[in-house]
Amino acid sequence: MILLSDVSRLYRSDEVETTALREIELHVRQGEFVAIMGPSGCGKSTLLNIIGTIDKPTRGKYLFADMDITSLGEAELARLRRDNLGFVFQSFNLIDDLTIAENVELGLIYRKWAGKDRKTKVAAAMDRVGVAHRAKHYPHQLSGGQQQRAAIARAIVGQPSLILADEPTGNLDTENGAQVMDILQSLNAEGATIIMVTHSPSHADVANRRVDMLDGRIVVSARYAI
Amino acid sequence: MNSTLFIHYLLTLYRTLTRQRLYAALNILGLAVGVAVFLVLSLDVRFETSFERWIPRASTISVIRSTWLGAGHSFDADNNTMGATLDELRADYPQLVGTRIWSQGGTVLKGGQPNGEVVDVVDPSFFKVFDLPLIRGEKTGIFDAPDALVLTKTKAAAYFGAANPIGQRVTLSLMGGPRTYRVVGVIKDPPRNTDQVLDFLVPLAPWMTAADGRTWSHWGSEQLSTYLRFDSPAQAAAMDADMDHFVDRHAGLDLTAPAHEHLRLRLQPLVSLHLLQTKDAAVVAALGVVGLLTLVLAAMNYVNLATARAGLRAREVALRKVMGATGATLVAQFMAESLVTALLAVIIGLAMCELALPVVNAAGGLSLKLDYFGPDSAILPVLVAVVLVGLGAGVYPALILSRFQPAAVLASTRTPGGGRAGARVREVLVAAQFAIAIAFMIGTGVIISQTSYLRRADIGFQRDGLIVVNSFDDSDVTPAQRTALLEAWRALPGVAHVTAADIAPGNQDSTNAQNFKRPGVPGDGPSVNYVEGRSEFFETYGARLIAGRFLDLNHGGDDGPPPAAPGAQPPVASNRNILINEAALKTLGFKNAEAAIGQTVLKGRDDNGFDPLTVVGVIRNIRFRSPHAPVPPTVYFMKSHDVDNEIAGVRYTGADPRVVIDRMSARWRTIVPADPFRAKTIDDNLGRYYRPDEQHGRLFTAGAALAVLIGCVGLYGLASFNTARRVREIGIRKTLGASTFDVLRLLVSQFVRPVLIANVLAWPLAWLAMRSWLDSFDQRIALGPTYFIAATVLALIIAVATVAGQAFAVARAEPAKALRHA
Repeated sequence: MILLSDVSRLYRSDEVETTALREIELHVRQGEFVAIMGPSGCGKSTLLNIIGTIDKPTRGKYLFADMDITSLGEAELARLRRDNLGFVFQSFNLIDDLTIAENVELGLIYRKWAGKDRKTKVAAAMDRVGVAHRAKHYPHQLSGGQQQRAAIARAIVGQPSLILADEPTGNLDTENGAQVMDILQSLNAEGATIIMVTHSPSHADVANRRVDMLDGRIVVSARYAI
Repeated sequence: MNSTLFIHYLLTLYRTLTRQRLYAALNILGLAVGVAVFLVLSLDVRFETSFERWIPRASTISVIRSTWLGAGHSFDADNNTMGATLDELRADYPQLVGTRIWSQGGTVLKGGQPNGEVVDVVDPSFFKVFDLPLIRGEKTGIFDAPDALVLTKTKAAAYFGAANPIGQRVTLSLMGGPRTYRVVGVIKDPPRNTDQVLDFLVPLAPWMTAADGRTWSHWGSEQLSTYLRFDSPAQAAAMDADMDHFVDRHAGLDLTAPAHEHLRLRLQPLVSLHLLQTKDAAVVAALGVVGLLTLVLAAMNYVNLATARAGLRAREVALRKVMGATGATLVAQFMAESLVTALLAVIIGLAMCELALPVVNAAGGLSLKLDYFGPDSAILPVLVAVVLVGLGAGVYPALILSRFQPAAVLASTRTPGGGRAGARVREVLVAAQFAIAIAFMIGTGVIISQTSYLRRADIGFQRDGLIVVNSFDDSDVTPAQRTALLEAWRALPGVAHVTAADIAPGNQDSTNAQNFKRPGVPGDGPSVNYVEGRSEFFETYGARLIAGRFLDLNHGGDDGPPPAAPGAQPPVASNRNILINEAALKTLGFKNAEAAIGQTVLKGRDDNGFDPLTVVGVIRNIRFRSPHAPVPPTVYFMKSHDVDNEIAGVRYTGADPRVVIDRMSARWRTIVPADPFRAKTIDDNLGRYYRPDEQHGRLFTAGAALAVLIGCVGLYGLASFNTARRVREIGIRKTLGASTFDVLRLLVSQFVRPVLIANVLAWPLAWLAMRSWLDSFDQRIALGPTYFIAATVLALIIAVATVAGQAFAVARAEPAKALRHA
């Protein structure tokens, strides 16, 4: 499903040049649950962002479903994200001025779904993660765990083939973290491909493959026995 | 606040301003431009409202204004009265302090060269009313001698150089014939804010009133202005209340009783005279409103940006609180910052005003000046503006920020920017700004269209290729010389037609009216103006015939009777042929132009009888005067000989007007060597009616354009702030699949909404204001929807263009970057 070949990413500012990723080779198959681990600054989030097409590699090749992502334009990338990807962030990244239902609905609006279908899907997604009763609340009126579950509802509402989660439990307590991991695990069980960045070995254990990174490189890529 | 803390605050302010240069520049320059526009326009308003206040105790002086009443009357109120009005008033009020000012065209001979001057004939009591200080001379008994002459400093210098003018003799040709006058006093030059000339003052003498003949004391004539001084407003009011009785007591012989139903005399304070005409007052008020609204707009802008930015300093405030700052010190800090910034803006605004004044003065024909000291000092209003804007901009962020709970702010990933309520307030302010800007744009469009329309509007005569000779009417020019001049000019190359009449485009010195009616109509009939002109009058001015024919001396009955005896009312030959204009056609009740031809019209006589006249032609209304006033119903007579108060008109073709004027001047010098030649092209002569509207229009347009610019600056600043604040949100939206266009539409529509809402306020306001302004014109454009729609579209284009650039840059950015850095 995902094939990264010789992918590097450099950040340049006026004075400094930082290499976030070096010669990454990664192949993720349909239905996999991949956990990416490594110390802070090792390039985990950058790798996830490139996979999610919200950042571009400086060098290398990225194939998504056999499609060369590096050759796509802005509009095609937006369409790809809309139709295939779901994102979950450590800091939730819900839009402050929209209600929970509106936040969840947003991706479907960009897909130009009809209103009635949208409402049904949004209700189902919120119900799935247990925030339906908070539909009309604003993000700041919810606890961190609820906000992250709302963010997961937003990520899954369009039934994407790939869910990208960047430290989804990083801002949550143990109980809420466990709940989020349960949801991700069940989504994977239903066929969704998940790539998750995490610092937590126990949460990484939920995945069926672990990729360890250090200084922008993949150092270990181990598959767990399922 | 101790000095260390104050220095620390100043340093913080300096860093805030220099770190965010664009924001600081937009904020300070926007306010500075607003202050500059406000200052310039308020100087203009002050100039226009300060007329005659330079005269000592001006508020105690009144002028008598006359209004002629009656069915179809065609006179507006004016400042003229019958010559002997003051004498007759003194008969009833012996203690009355008053003077007449009788402005005359005179000729001062200097070194054998004639110089045309305006000479004011005044009563010996002139200085009791106009208590003007003398630079030289002694006021007591100053006008006792009939040859006394008082002149201004400039005129004294022009005629006598550095020599002491007192006692110098001057040959002054006034009201027919040269006389020697002796300089007895010199007054200061009047300032620009006056309608009084007062260059040459001479005392009224019995030979002058005798020369005026019967009209001097004939109720129904007006030739001069009468000014009165009162010790108290109550005295003026009491006299004003008695004016109808006074007219009844004195005018009964000349006017049908009761006389006050024909002539209304009223006292008008001198200081209110300049703005008496509603349209002038309205234009000055409009300029004042533009100035004030521009300042308000700039201040709103400033407050809006300041409050929006304040949210970004929440963390700074939280940390200051953690470090021990109290709410009061934080309030003081933000207020002080705001005041210092406002002061900076106002200083720049003052500099801009100084730079703009020469341009404004040149464009508007003004002499505005910024005074820093003295009674007209600009310092106080400027300081008030600093305090109001500074406090206004500082108080909201100061109070909001000082109330932030440090722990909550520091723990939050959100930027507290006043929340949804704050956003709503900012949206309301942007809507208000654009309401003002759109209203100004509509106003500007209407003013530009109207002034342009007036320049090309049909005024019933051909306005190109005309020269008007104002000196033709000078009392020193004899009837024989006038006839010779017309013949000489007619023979000049490039001259097509020559005429003279008691009316000319742009001249308002003489207006004649009488009752006219059709046979069988009861009563006196409506008052209708009449014009007497020599041959070729209609050809020279290019009048347009609707029916019948022009008057022509080759037709019997077109010419008038021979000249009347001096001072006597000119007789009118019965069955004389006349031409009437469209307005007269309507006033006299004819069905159409064709129906009027060959019909009899009766002209009233002073002895209450009527002279029959025959209509031989109907012409389009000729507009020789203001585009504001309707063209009066007018009857045209033709005479083969001298006409009273006549002005010459010359039509030229295929020649440079300057060359034609030079040739005419040369002929004039040969025929009338003792009198100066004064001629103008039609544009110059008619300009007095069109120039004020054009000048005020330019000021309004400049003010409005700058107001719109300020609105744009504010919008740009707010848009950049809002866009920066929404970077994370944009990142999220793009991550969820929003395209660049989706984001662009989101950011731009945020500002389109308040602009659209602004129309709800702007359209009715602009409609009311411009409807009222256009109503002051007799000739005017239609107030169609185009101006409103165009202003709205323009405002939308400006708003979209202002925010689209930065929105596009943000919309195109990679979402990961937005999410990482926001």
